[in-house]
Amino acid sequence: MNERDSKLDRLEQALWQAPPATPPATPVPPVEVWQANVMRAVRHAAPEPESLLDLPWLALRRAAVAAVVVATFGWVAALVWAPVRDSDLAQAAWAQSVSETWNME
Amino acid sequence: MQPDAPELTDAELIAQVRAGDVNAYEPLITRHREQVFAIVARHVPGAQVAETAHEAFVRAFLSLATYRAEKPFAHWLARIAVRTCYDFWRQQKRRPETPASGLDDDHQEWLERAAQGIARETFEHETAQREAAEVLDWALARVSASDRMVLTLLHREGHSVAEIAASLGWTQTRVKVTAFRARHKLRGILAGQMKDTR
Repeated sequence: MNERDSKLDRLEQALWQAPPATPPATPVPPVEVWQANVMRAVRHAAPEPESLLDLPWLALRRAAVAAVVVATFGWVAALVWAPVRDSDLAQAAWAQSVSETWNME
Repeated sequence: MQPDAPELTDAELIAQVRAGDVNAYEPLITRHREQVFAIVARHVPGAQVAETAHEAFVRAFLSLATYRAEKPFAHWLARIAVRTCYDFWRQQKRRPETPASGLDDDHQEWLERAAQGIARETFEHETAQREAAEVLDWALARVSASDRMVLTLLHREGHSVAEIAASLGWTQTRVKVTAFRARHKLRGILAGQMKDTR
């Protein structure tokens, strides 16, 4: 270990052994005010009891929207796929006719 | 505040809150605020302690559904407090005003004395203690939020790797790798301030 590393080791040790800055004993605002603010925020964040009753309807609405999305996607996919499918059928029919022609000959 | 609330256990109060009685959360705050303030004050600047503790309690309230009664509420709350401090530093790091200045003369002098191994005796003096804490804060302001949290929890507070992993929700491997890299970065920052090691 060189001199530089030794110095850094000592410095690190000194830094971590230093007592931390004294934390404030009480919150900056009076503790009652601070706690009242926390409770106000908590009440604001708490779900309304009525909204809990809405949960089944919310789930139904979400399921209905999901069903519409899936149906729409399936319809669009069928529209896109139809020409391809038809094309495949056409190709197959052409190949069969060619084969039959050769067999006939 | 309800006069009979302190007689209820944490678990009973939590059950009431979960049942929709938001006011039952207030005795929990009263009971645990000192602990949360003590944790937060070790990680964030003094002026931000109240706000960060506030945030920790609101987060705890919003996460109460995930609390499992097998472990004490105080431990669960302590983890939320540590993660809130971590998020505080992450937000701070996103802000563009990263301090670029070096140490002033007094701190430079302390640093040189500490590197010579003569600082420990001077910790008796309040000024030297304050300077050491300020030099550490200065150096930690130059590493990432994750580096800062891991270094502080590991070296200043003496937590184990397993405890830090649990507090931050990381794997132990991640804690070890972060601690190794963070220490390397910190040494580089300190070396850059020492006159004969630049």
